[in-house]
Amino acid sequence: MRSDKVLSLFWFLLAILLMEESWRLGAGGLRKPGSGLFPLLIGMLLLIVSFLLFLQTRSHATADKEGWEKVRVRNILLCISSLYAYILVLEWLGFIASTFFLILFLLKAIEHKGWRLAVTTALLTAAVSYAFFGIALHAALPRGILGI
Amino acid sequence: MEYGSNLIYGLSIAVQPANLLFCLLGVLIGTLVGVLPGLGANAALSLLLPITFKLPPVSAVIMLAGIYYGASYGGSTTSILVNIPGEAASVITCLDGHQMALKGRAGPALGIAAFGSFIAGTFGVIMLMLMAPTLAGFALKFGPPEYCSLMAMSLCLVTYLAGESMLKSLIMAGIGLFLGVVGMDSQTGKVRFDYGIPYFTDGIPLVPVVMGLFGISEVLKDIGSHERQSVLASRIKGFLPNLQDWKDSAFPMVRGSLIGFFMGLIPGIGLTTPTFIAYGIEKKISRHPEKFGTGVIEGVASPEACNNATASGFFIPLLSLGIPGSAAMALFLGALMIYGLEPGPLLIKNHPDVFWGVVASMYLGNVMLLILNLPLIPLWVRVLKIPTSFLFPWILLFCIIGSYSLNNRAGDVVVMITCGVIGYLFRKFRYEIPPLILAFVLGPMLEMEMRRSLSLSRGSFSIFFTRPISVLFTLIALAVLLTPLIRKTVFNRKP
Repeated sequence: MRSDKVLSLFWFLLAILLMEESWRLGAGGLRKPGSGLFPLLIGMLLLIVSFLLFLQTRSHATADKEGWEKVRVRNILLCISSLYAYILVLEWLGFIASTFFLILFLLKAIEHKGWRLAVTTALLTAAVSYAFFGIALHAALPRGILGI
Repeated sequence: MEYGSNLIYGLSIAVQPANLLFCLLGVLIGTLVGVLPGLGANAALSLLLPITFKLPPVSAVIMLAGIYYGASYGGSTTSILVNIPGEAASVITCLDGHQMALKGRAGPALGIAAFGSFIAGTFGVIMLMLMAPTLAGFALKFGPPEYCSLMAMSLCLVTYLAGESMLKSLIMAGIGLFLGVVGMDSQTGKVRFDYGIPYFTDGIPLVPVVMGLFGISEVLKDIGSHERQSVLASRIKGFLPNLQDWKDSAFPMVRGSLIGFFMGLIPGIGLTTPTFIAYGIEKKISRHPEKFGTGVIEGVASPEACNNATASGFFIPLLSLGIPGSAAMALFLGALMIYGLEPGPLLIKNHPDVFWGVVASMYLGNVMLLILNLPLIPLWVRVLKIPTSFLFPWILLFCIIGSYSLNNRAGDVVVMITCGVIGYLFRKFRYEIPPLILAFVLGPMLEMEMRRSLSLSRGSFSIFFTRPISVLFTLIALAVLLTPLIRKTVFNRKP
């Protein structure tokens, strides 16, 4: 598969980077191993294995079938970006408000639920999770500018 | 007699009201998460790990163990009722279990799964009680080279048995080892691979990584799929197997328990392989092999007993040597360290309350599963009916709160989300995650023991080949690494 080949090259490059950085850290000698020795060995392992993987993929050149056409990439991208956005605003906006908007967004944008159902679920989720984690389990959840 | 008094001591700890409560909570929450399709024992442990951090160590380990075998039990319930294995270990249970459900015999199938798990669990706990202290005593003779080669052997076995491509699994192990070295080197004080980001100075924390790799990636897989999991639950009546069911299941349960337990001692074997072997053996020695797959009770009894016994077997290397043989055990190991306990042969000696308390609680947990879960099956069926469209935002939120509340650091959540994305890509490109987790947890210990060994031998790797126990582990590790290569060159020559 082509992706396997590309990935093996990626691992190969990563291994080289890792070895270079390990060398910079100071591998020391075998008698007195430095901070870089173990990562250097890991880098060597990755280098050899990625090379073997590259060779193996070449000898098994088959159809490029990763099944990406069957994946709803839009859903995944929306989900990931909403999670990053959530953590970006969490401490500023506070737990309850950010959680409400996150759940609302996920239910509307990915699951295409109706407004009433989405808003009710988001409200309930934010309130119940705050009551359970914040009040019952004393988790320190951020209050944010709204003070809740 | 010593074992008897130790077990009584363990029971005295396990029956303390607080510990009983945490065991019960663990079993119930574990079953709940295990019932949810797609979320298996690893995800259950990752998701719930942060909850246990505020508890005293004994209660925390008891709860964690409860979550683990509860999840494994929950997985069987969904296999039987809706033909969706809650986790890989119960795939084989679908074959006959679901057929039994379709024939209106879901009750006996669930009943025999519960009894089988209970009997195998009991057997496993007794063996754990007998074997772990002996093994730990033996392991006290281990020096750094023995530990180093033992860890290397475990890693090699896990990568060998992990999935379809050993090379990909080795890459995963390499990435795991690399993640383990990020942060301050405890020996020299140098900060490694932090790239100027202060967050990485203390290293990459375990919990956000596993929550991302197992929890978030599972959700991404689900929302990215066109075929969302939907559930049609059948009606169930009567959970008790009849006399004939018992007659048919008794020996398969015994065989399943034996196969499961002894295979569980092999690092990296996983929960799935032994169940397939147990099922295969039952089919082979059966008088009516053609009926397997059409709803015979032996096809449920044996693999269900087997996966529970395997799970008990896993605990032996973990609790006696401090060496995990699977991703779930690696999570346990990480948790033990977070609780401030030092895993290894001295754990039983230094923390007998933890060891014997957990062993006894596992026994009680099995009883709880049996007594509570059969009447609760209608509830689990309802849980199964919750649409995944509502479940996934909740799982995401749960992961976020779990990783945030560890240290109240947004950085942990960022690591978790990023690991979720990476974990999803790994799944998509068929890279197995367990070797990464195991290597990530074992990495720092492996490095420390390797350094100590090299200091002992004044820089010579021959130390791993000159001490008898170490040479045995090293040779097994080498054999495992080289087997696929030899097999390929000798047996796979195409004209």
